[in-house]
Amino acid sequence: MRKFFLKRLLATLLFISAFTYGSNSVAHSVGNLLDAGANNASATDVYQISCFDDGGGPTAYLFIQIQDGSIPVPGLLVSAQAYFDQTKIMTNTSDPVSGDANASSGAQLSGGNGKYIVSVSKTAVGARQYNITVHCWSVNGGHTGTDVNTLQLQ
Amino acid sequence: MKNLSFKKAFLTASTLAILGHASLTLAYPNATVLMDATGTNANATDLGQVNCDASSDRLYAMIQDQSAPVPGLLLSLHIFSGIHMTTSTDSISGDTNPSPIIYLNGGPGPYYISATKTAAGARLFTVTFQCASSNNTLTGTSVIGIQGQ
Repeated sequence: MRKFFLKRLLATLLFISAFTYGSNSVAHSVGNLLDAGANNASATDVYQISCFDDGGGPTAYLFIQIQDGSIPVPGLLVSAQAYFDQTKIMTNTSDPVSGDANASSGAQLSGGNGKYIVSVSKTAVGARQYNITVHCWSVNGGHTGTDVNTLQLQ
Repeated sequence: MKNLSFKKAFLTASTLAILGHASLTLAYPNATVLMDATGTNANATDLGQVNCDASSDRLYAMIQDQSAPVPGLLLSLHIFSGIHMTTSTDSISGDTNPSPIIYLNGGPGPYYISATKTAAGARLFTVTFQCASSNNTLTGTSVIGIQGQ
């Protein structure tokens, strides 16, 4: 049991490291094993992303991308959503091929500075090891301040 | 006041509504929408706000994709309120079965319900929703469309 746990922990850390290595210092990556018990099709993780002016100008939009690191299972895909409550807008992106080297296409939500909700969901029962990348961007293409706060892990 | 086996009634009512008998007593609030009409927007997301009356404890909802099946294209429904969110997916598009029913305990709300999909492609879907008290008595339910893509 302990050996199994350590093996899974090591795999998780390696996966997260693989996708954070090489990214620039202002990229934010968050990973988790969603539905670890593989018995909850409704499992959804929720994060709050705060975008703010850290000296480089105000935020224009939040960019998100998701990568499913688990092996492909028919009918089981992972998606990420971004929601901005102040203007009540939402977008979504899905990784069409699980376990390969490619992340989903990027999605952006133009809410400006403020608190965004980013969620991760899937289409069926099954544990999924995912990694999401979030960037707050200014209108002229510079990174702006980005804080990540975990709200719900399932 | 209706107080019944909610899950069974919910399924029955929604199936009847979809079959065109929406005037029956057990027709729960629902909306039918065509998303990504041009079939080019994989990021298309529809969003609505559901308001439940003061005696409410939770919101139930489900989604049914009425379009023909396309490999890799599945439709999901999300309910969120405050910092919590849950998800349900219609695993087989175009058949007579909706997604599993999901619910979120957010009190009177407001709740947000959104529909998303896993790839580009037009999808005609029906989302059905109902507020309920802690003992599953049906409570007042209204919806406002916010975003249609």
